[in-house]
Amino acid sequence: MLQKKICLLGASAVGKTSLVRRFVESIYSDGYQTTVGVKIEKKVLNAGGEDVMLLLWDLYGEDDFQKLRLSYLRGAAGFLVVCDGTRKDTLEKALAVHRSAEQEFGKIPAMIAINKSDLASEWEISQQTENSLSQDGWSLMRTSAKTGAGVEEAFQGLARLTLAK
Amino acid sequence: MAEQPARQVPSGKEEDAVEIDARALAELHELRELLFHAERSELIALRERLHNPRLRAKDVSEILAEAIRLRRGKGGRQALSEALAPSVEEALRESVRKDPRILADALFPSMGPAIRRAIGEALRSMTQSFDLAMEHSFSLQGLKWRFESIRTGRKFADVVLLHSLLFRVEQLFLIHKKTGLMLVHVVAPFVPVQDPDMVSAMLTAIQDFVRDSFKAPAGETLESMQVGELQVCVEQGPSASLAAVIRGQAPPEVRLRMQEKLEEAHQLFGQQLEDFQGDAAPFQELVPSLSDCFAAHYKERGGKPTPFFQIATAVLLLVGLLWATLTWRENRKWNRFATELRAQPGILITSFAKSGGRFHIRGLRDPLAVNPEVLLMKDNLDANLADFEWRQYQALDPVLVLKRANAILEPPAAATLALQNGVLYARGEAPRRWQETFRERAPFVAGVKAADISGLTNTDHSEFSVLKKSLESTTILFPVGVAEIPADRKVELDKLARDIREVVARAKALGDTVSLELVGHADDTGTDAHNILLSDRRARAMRAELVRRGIARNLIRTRGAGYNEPLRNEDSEDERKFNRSITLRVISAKTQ
Repeated sequence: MLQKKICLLGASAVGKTSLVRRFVESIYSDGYQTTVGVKIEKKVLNAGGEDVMLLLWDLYGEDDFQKLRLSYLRGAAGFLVVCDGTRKDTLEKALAVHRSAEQEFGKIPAMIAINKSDLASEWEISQQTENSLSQDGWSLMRTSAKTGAGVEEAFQGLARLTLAK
Repeated sequence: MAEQPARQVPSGKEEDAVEIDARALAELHELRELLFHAERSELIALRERLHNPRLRAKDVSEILAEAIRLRRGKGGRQALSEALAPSVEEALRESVRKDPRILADALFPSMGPAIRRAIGEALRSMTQSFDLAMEHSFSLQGLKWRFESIRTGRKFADVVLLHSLLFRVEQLFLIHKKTGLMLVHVVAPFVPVQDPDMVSAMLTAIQDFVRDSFKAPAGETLESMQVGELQVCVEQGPSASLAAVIRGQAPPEVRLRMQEKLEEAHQLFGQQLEDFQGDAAPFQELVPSLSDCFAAHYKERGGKPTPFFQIATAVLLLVGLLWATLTWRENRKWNRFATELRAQPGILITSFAKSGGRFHIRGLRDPLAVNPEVLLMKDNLDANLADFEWRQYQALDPVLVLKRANAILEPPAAATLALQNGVLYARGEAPRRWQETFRERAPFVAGVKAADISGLTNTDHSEFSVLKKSLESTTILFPVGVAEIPADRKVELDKLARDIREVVARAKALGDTVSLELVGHADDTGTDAHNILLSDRRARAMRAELVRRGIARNLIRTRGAGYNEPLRNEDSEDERKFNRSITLRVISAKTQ
């Protein structure tokens, strides 16, 4: 089975960990993220008729206290850039992280997951923003860790992108 | 042959044209013949070669091996293998179908050793685990480990193996360095594992974390981690790293071994490692080579016991065995003694116990019952080990009643006692006096209800007669012409006086009175008158002696018989001396 290293990027508290929790296998506790700065999880899915094992590096969200360890991104086959749809700044932060990753490791298949889609009333990211991101070549997916909506699809989509590369 | 039809072209305009064409053709043909004769025959030969399968096969056969070599060299190994695989498989199947032996024989040299090795390895590991389990089954340590086995739910043998392990490589991870993806994971038998894919990634993350956190110079990495008994050693290669999970303390050779394996992986898969896109399948080829690292090394078994220790143990064992046997035998003897004692009439045991190596026996005992100490001696038991505590009582067991009767009634030698249904029978002969005693006292003996003397005969008469006869056979001899009792016969006279008194008493008991007649004798030398006188004096002297010994004078008559009643014929001096004597006669009043 093909294996792919996927890194989850994004600001803290955007729900990266919640996003994957229901869909992955893990043998490590959440404590790893705050100590080592990363937690490894595993997700096997079928993308385009092929079984793929995604090894998800759920990185501690960059914030004022902890810088993202770029070394964790080395060798990644894809990035899932996660932001919080109810906090516009998290998108900018996520994109900034992605940019620094790209600077370091070059162009790597990536996908944006705009999380918390269940909180439509508090939504801050405009359709226009989404459109312009699409025009820039981004694949976007609204997700909800709470309802599970879009999560599987986001991983599927990213897996396809990594295979198409 | 082609010229023939050209010449037979029909006449007429049309026919002329045909003829010209035919001529032209013939000329062309001729020209061609002239120009290309050699090439033509070559062409024909070539065509022949192309269309003749036999020749073509011959051609291919000449270049086939070279062609395959070329194809492999040009990086077409995969394609060639793919092309050949179905046919080779088919051929193998066909071969096995036709005659399985051929393939089996061909494979035998390589499969035999491999199978032997696998079986040997399995047996060795099984024996080792069994040995260890046996060795530790009965020790204190073993108990501790058994408890641990129950607590953790692991098999006892596994727990033993874990603790006796010096070191063992339990898991190996070949990890793609850049992505942290797992290429190969091998695990020793019976080792519980977590998801190796995630572990590989996390190991890589930790490497990165440590390097970043401590600003390690490039090229320096975390080489080992220690968690309790577990050690994780990591060897770095250009494109892959090899992490080993080792239980116990691994010697430096293990690292060398790991480096060799890592080098081997780079040698064989250098390009694949660089181009790695997530497909770890090709690297599975490394599994057998990596599995070689799984040698477990166990602690030495605490050295061989010294001969002294062995001998001491053996002696102790023997002594213990001997002691146990002796104690068992001794106890058995004492128990048998107790049983024997219980069966004795007149003995009632109320308690029999052993404490402090001594035997305490309590109970009731008839004084006439067997002496327990005698029984002890008979059974070869040490009487000093026995503490008896008896209370006395009178037993009514017939044996003891009889014994008691004998002790109290003291029957004369010619009489015996017997007990039947509480009646004491006296049988045999006994004096009247004893019979009286028996009749009076027997019923008072405990256990006797009645006395019976019907089987008893009186012995007093016979005793009297015996005594009388004994007295009458007494002869006192005198020297020639002497009437005084010689001094050396005086002792004899004392006994005679006692017997006389006895015979008088017995006669009285029989309701009779007796008297004695002392008859004096003389030999035939001298005159009759002298002899009568002498013999009379001899009888009187005797009487005087008896009277002096307390016999009533009126009981004794004397008479001098002279030579008139000789005891012997005087054929010799020896016989004559018997006639110089006194004889004694007991005269009963009843018989007179």
